[in-house]
Amino acid sequence: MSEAARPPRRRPRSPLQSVTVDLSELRYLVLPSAWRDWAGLTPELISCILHGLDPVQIMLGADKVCRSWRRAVREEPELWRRIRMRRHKALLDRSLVDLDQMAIDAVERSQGQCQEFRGEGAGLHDDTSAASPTKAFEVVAKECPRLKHLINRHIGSLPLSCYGRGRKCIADGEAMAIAKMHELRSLQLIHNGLTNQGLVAILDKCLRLESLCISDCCNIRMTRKMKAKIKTKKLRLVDYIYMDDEEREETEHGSPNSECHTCLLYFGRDNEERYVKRYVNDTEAMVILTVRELRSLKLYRNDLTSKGLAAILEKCTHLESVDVWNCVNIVMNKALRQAKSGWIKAKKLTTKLLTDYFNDKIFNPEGLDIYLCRKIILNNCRGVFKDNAHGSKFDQIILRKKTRNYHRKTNKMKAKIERYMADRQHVGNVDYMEFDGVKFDSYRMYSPMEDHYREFNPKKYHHSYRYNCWKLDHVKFEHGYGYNYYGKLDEKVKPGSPIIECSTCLMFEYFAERWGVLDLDDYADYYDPSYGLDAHDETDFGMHDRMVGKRLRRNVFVERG
Amino acid sequence: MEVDKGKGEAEETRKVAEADRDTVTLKSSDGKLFEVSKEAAARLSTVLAGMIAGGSIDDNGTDLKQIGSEALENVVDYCNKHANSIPSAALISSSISFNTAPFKEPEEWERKFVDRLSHDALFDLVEAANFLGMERLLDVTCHKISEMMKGKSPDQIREVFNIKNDYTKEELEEIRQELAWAFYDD
Repeated sequence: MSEAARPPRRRPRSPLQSVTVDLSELRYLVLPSAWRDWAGLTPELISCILHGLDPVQIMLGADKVCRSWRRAVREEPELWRRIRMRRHKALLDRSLVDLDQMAIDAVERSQGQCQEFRGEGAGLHDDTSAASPTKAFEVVAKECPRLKHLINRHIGSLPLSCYGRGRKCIADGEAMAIAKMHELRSLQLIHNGLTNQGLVAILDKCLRLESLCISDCCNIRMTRKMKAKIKTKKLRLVDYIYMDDEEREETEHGSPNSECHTCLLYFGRDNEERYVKRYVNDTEAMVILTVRELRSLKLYRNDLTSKGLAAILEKCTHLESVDVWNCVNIVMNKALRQAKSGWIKAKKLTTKLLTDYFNDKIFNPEGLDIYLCRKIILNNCRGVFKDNAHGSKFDQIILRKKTRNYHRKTNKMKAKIERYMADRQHVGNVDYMEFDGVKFDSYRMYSPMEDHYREFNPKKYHHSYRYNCWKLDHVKFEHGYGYNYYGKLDEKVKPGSPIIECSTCLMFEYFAERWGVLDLDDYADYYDPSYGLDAHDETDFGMHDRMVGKRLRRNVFVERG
Repeated sequence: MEVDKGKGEAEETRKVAEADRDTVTLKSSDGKLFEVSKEAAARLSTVLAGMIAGGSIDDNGTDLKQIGSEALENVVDYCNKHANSIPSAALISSSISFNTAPFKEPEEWERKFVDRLSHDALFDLVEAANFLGMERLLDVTCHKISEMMKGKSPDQIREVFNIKNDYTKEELEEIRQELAWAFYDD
């Protein structure tokens, strides 16, 4: 940097002395304080610092550092005013903590000061957790008399009584516990098994309730009686909208826009990691049929076939709009169009098949010259289309034939490749890498899962990837297990399985390449696998893969080929 | 706004300052003098505001014995930056609702301001901000420190901040039992 570019307030130095190092680049360096007594800060300052952390982070880290910090944590109920258990699901997934128990602990520490409780799966995850869901809520109700905002989101699967064999709902125990929180101002119960009975109890007891969000509560029937009740309470009904994992609130006066709000979101939403119906097949289409009151239906990227769709259109007479996007098995043939033309005219059917989205990622098996690649994985390869299938070049019937045959084609291709692989004995040497449907070569593969991995886009690193630099020692995996993208044990990888089955290993390989250029110890203090990912890190996949790589390095033996 | 570290230069500017009475002079523990706009100082620091109102401002340099010159320089830098910006009242006020953070996120320049500081300087700045009652600066620096702690295990936090583990073995065991929600690997 030149002298002129420095801020003017600095005292001018001779050019020889001026060495500019941007300190922000070194911000993760550990620079231990020489004499500053961080433990000796006044409790006010410590708690001021800890205000920047949420309770979970405090409980995991700062709380255990030293006595004075612990005291500061204990003596400052303000810190626990807003307990948010959200965004810590990673901890639960890795079985590091029991979030329910943790939530109870946090609530107890707040000494009644807690005014906002945001739980995600907290207190309700599943049967394996130690605390029963109702208990967690009862503790919250008991310990937080001043609780004003309660947000809770189930992440677990729910007993959905609106389709399938309706099981008796257990969530009303929670509702009864919530009904004890008389100071409650706003309540969000998302994806909850609440029933009408429970809701009535809450409405009757929580007199100060001002806003209410019950989206995804599948067991609530918006009867006229219920609507009237909500109206007399002058409640603001809030609709929850998911946008790229960031939730936004949108106020809407009135009721949820359909009789069975949940079904729509349940089938439609796709940005959750689990528990979401991603593939609806025809059997499930029959289940949808039983929901006679369905008003609108959104189906994204699933296995529904034309037959199932036709059945839905026929049976669900209340349907006003249907969105079927990227359902590769649905072919809008003439039969479907003609049979339903009256319906489609009167109502709204949105189809986006083979949109630009598809056009972007097309796998062309006919053009695949397997003798050029030494390894191909065909996981999740659901859509196999001719490269130029999009647009008007093919008519619908040819397209339908192609879709109909794609499973057969991919299976054939797979068998062929496997045979070839066995012949050439190239197992262990990767020339070609494909990560869950994302290609690394000139061949295009499409996978419905790919969007799921969009943060992890190896295409970005394509140019720098050297295929055959690394060898992985398969035997050195601990128990033959690998870790998948989320850092969880991938149980599919059994000991002794050939490498062709193990896409995880390929991922390892990808990391192995990265390790060559990056010294992970630089980041060692920034990330600790035993803690889990911070929400911010998760958005930065570059950081994440380095860290996963660090974690993997313990389990994998890597050597240069 | 000019900030001078040298004493001689400071005296020159003080003459100018005395003419319009627009600035206050602050003296660090090791005797260095700093100029800061009176309006900004009063607005940002409750303690300085009280001193200005109470007339306990010394033209030859108000003694701030608790604050070292480096930390005071940072404080003055901060005041000067804020002197030219819009009043920060809107930044400080935060209402508790669903989607507001406990306090507003630091602005870009504030982030850069604290990012360039070393751990020691940060420590000094936190204490200085606390002493001077500068709420916003305290928030920003504390936010930075808490960010340094994010995602770290207790051991790592101790290492970063050079804190000694003063727990005995029995106490650690006690904590471990108390925190029943944490599943330990070992």
